[in-house]
Amino acid sequence: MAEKTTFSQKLQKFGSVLAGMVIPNIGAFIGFGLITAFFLKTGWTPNTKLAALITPILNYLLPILIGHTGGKMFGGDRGGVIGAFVTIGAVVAVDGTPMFLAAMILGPLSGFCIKKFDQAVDGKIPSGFEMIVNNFSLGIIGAILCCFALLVFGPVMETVTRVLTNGVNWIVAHNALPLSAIFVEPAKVLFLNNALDHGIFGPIGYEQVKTLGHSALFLLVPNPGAGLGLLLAYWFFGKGEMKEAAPGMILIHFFGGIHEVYFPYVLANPLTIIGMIAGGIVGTGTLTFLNVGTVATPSPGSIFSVIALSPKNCMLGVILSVVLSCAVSFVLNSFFVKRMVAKGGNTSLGASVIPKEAMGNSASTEETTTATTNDSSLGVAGIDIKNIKKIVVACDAGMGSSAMSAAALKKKIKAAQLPIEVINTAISRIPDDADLIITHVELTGTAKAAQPNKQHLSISNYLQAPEYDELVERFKKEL
Amino acid sequence: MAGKLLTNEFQSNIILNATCHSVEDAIQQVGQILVKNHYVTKPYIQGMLEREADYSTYLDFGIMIPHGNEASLTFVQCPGISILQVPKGFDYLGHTVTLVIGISSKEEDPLQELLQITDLILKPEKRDRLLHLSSKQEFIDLVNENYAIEGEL
Repeated sequence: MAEKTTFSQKLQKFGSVLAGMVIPNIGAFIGFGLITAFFLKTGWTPNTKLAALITPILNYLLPILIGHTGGKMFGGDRGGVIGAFVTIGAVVAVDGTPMFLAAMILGPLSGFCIKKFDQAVDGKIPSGFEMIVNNFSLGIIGAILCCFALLVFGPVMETVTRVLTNGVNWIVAHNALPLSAIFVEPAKVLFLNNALDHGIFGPIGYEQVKTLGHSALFLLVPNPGAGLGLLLAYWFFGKGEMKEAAPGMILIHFFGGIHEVYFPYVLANPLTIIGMIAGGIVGTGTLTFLNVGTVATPSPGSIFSVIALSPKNCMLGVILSVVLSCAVSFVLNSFFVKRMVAKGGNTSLGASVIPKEAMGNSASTEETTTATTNDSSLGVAGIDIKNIKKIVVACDAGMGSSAMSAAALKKKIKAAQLPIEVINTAISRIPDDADLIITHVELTGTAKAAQPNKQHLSISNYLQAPEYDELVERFKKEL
Repeated sequence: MAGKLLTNEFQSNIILNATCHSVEDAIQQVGQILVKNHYVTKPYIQGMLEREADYSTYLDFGIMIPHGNEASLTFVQCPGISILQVPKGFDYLGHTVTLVIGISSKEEDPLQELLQITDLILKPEKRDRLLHLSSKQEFIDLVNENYAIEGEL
C-alpha cells in the first residue's frame, strides 16, 4: 500500500469531506426514507395527506441541511448559516430537482468565503461594532452568493445532474447497470464507498424515486450481500486471525452496516475482488431484472436499513438480491480463500490496512470504536504515537485553558524540533484531521463522546502536565 | 517581529492590590474590568461564573484564568484580557489564588498576550516577577520583553 498512499489518501480525504456533509444528516434522510416507504402511493400505507411531506423534504430540507453542514465544516457556525442560505439559491433555481451536488459545493464554498472575510477583518473592527459588522457581512456576502447560486450555479448543476442522470439512465436502459460493479467494488474497498454512495448514486437515485417510486442505484454500494459472502468464506475456509475475527466482522458488517470492516480482507487477498465484483453484478442484476429497489440510501448499509427502506412490492426482490449476491460471492471467494490458505499467505489483519480516518467516516458502532481508540486510563503509554501529525488541546469553549495548555505543549514540541502541529479548540469544534486529542481529566468524557474514533489523552494540570514530557520523550525515541 | 505587544493603555486592564473574599468576588472584579473596557457586555460575567461552577479554571502557581462558556460567547465584543492581583490571596479548591486573569475571547482567535503569559509562567524567574508585580507598567514590560525575545507564540 505504501507506494500509493498519497493518491489513495487524497481520494479518501475527498471522500471523507463528501461523507462528512452527509453523515451528520443521515437521521433526516432515514426520516425521509420512512415517510416515503410508508406514505408514498406505492408505499406500505399510502396516504396522500402525509405524502405531501415528501417533496418539500427532498427538495428543500435535505439539500439545505447538507449545505449547512458543508458550510459549517469550512467556516464554523457562521459558515453553516451562510451555507444553508446560499444553498436555497440553487434549490430555487431548479425547482423540482434535489440539489444535493450543488449543496455539497455551495455549502463549503460559502463557509470558506465567510471564514476568509472574518480573517481579513479580524481585529480591524472598531470596538462595539462587531455585532453589526458580523451580521451585515454574512447577510451581504450571503445575498450575493445566493443570487449567484440562483442565476449561474443552479442551472449549471442542473445540467451536470441531468447529464449524469441521463448517463445512468442510458446504462439502465441498456441493462448494463449490473456491470457498474466492475468499478464500484474496487472503489469501495479503497474506502470510497461514502463518496460514491452519497455523492453520485444517491442524488441520481432520488431522481428515479420521483418517477419510479424506488431505485436500484441506492443499493449499488450498501448492498451487504457480497461482503457477507466474503466474510462467510473466511469464516469457513480461512485460517488464523482472519478466520477468528470473521464472525464478529459479520455482525458489524451485515447487521451494523459498517462495510469498512471487510475492506481489509479484500486488500489482504486482492483476488477476492473478483468474487466481490461477481457478487455485485448478480445482486444488481437481480434488482434490475425484477425492477425493484429502495426509496433512499440505506445508511449504514445494514440488512435492517435495506429492508426498512424497501417498498412492500420490492421487499422480496431486494432480499433475493442480497441473498444471491452473498451466495455468488461466497462460492467464488471460498475458492480464493482456500487458495490463499494453501499458499500459506499472511492471515493476520494488520492495523495498517485499516486507515483510521476512513473508519471514522462511517456511522460508528461500539465494535468499531473500540478497535481504533485507546484506553486513556493508560496515559501516554496507551497511545499509538505513530502517524501523529496534529495534536488538538481542547476545552469546553476553546478559550483560555486550552490555549495556554497548547502553548505549553507547543513550546516543548518546538524545543524537541518535532514536526507536529499543536492547536487548541473547543471540544465541539475538534477538526477531523486531529490525530490526538488532549483534554483536562474532567472533560475527557465529553471529548470522547464528541470524537469517539480518535485517540485521547487526559491531563490534570494544564501548564505543567507531566504527560507532555512523557509524550515528547516518546516522540523523540520512536519517530 | 519586534515591536510592542501591549501598549501603555493596557494599564487600564490591570488592578493591583485587590482584596477578594471568594472566587465569585474575584470573577466579578476581573469581569468588571472587561465590561468597563468594552471587551464584553455585562451578561458575560454570569457566563464566567457558570463556567467556573462547571469546570474550574484554576491553573497552577496560584493563577486562575476565568472566562465565559460556550453560551456566553455572544456577549464577547472583542478579544482581550484583564489582570487582577490579589496579594493576600483567597482560598479556592485548596489553593491560594493571587493572580486572576480574566479572558474575553471568541473561540479560537489566539490571544497572543495570553500565550506570552503562558510562556512567562513556565519560566521560573519570570513567573516570580509576574506573581509579585509592583506596578502595572511592570506587567506590560514583562510581556513586551518576552514578546521581543520569543516572537509570536
